Amino acid sequence: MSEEYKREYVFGLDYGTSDFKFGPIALGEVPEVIENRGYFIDRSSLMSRIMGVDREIVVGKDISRFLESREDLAERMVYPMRNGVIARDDERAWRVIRELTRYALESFAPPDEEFQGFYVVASISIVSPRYMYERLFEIFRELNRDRVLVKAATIIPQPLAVAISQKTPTCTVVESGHGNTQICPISMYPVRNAVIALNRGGGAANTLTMEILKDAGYGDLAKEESFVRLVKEKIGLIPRNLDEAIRYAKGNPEKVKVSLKIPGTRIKIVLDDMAWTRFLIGEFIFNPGHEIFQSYFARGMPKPSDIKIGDTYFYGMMDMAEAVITSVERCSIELQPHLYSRILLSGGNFSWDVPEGLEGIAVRPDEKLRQQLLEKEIEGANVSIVEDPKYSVWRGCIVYGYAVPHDYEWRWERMEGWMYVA
Amino acid sequence: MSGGSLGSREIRLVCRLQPGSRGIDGILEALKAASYTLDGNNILRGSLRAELRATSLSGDEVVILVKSAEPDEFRSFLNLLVRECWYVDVYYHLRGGDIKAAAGDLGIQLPEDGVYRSRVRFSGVELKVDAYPKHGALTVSYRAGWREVNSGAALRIHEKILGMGGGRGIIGKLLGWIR
Repeated sequence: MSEEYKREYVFGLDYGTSDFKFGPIALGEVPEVIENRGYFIDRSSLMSRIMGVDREIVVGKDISRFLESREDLAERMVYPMRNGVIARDDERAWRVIRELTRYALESFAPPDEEFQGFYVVASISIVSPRYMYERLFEIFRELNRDRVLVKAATIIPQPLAVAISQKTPTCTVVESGHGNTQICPISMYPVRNAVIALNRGGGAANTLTMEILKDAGYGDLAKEESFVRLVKEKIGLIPRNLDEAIRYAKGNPEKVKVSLKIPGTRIKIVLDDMAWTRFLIGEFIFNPGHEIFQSYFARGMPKPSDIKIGDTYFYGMMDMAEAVITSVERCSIELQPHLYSRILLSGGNFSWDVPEGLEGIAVRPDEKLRQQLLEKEIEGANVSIVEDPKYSVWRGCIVYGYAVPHDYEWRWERMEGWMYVA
Repeated sequence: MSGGSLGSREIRLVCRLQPGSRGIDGILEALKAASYTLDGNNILRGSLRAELRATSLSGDEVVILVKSAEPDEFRSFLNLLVRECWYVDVYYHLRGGDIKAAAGDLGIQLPEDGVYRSRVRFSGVELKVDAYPKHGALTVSYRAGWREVNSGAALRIHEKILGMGGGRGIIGKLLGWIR
């Protein structure tokens, strides 16, 4: 198998906590995106037999056509990467990962004989334990039983993929997805003993948005997560300073009020006198410890808790700047200034805009973190959001797969190289 | 919060360096000598905005992403690269609504689903077409050397694929294409 063949058939898989991004190098700079979830169909039901449904798990854009009642959703819908780690014995989650992977590879596998499998670069959380690597390689092997889809595979941590996509060998990557946030200093390789993980991401902001919707009289709609996520994305704002932003919103309600019509439905969300709560959504991502959130916790909103998964602690309430500082300060003193001088924000949880007319009151995530760091006496930090933050991990996968020579075989001791599975 | 707006057209240039060449340094020096501005990984001149995306570990290939360029500026850029390289593989990545128009211009009827691969000839050059209609993605590629650039074939291919033929209005000609 030649280097030329490998370069033509590099394939990236980014197993995000909420979205699964995938596609071959031939797609250019933009991968396909589907939700990282699978729906287990009740095949014993009469309707599924009448309709001739022969699949057990549905993934991809077809899912919404198979959904049953709301009550069934919680039981049958599986989000395998919710916090970035799948338990070794969580068979339902692993089956969803297998189906998602098959869906991705089959979508782009050419039918001709020249094709002898992709060179797959998969990316998973930096806190993923070794058994997840082993299980993924096993899945790639299994998928080859029907038809060779994977020639060789390699697996890299998501923060490293971001650094590769930005061609930045020394930096601090803050990768924030739906379920968690990973803060990882990188000096050629990830500094693994300095990694800090937060048990919150876009999903925590969804939870708060749900409470805001309930308070605004939309409690019946707030039960569906995809709806809540859409509302969050459309109305959420990051305040430069939360107290000032709330004062501004209450004094200038016409500038902050918002109404949102959900396409294809009769549903319309209007926030008038409660428009100030838009700023709470963004603040919660950066600083859930602000006293204003106590009233939500007191009323039963779950507090992001500290949890331990495998050997890793995921902190629930640590603010974003504190997490960055804690992570950087675990590295050598000589390295620390370099790590502050290039902080890269990546992941779908950093895709926030500032609406026209609210400049200075609302800010983008890079400005928010810079401000937070300054308050903790970290001056001159250079924080930037990577271009298209949702896709940077996938792009890093493609660059990595392109660059690593085809004859560089996988080594467990270094966790790099190609594992041939066909 | 935004979903991240993206354009639907990209050009990827994979430059195969000549054996025994000085690697990417030779290309960078040639770019500087031709008044291109190098800013980090970005390459800028006139309407051209490009980015160095990757280098193979063996140093024999360099990948450049062209984000925008007037056709003439693109031809000039490609002209410089083929002088410095053994050859340049040019990839046009189209998404969404552009793919049917581009396929139609090349005389290709795309299926609704599956993976479609074909080869067509245009201006004496063999173009490789990879289409993923279900995902609204189309890639057209060819190998460019001295002959393809000097004969004007590279420019004609560029205009054909990006829909910049003679029918283009004056505003379009002024603006070139923008992501």
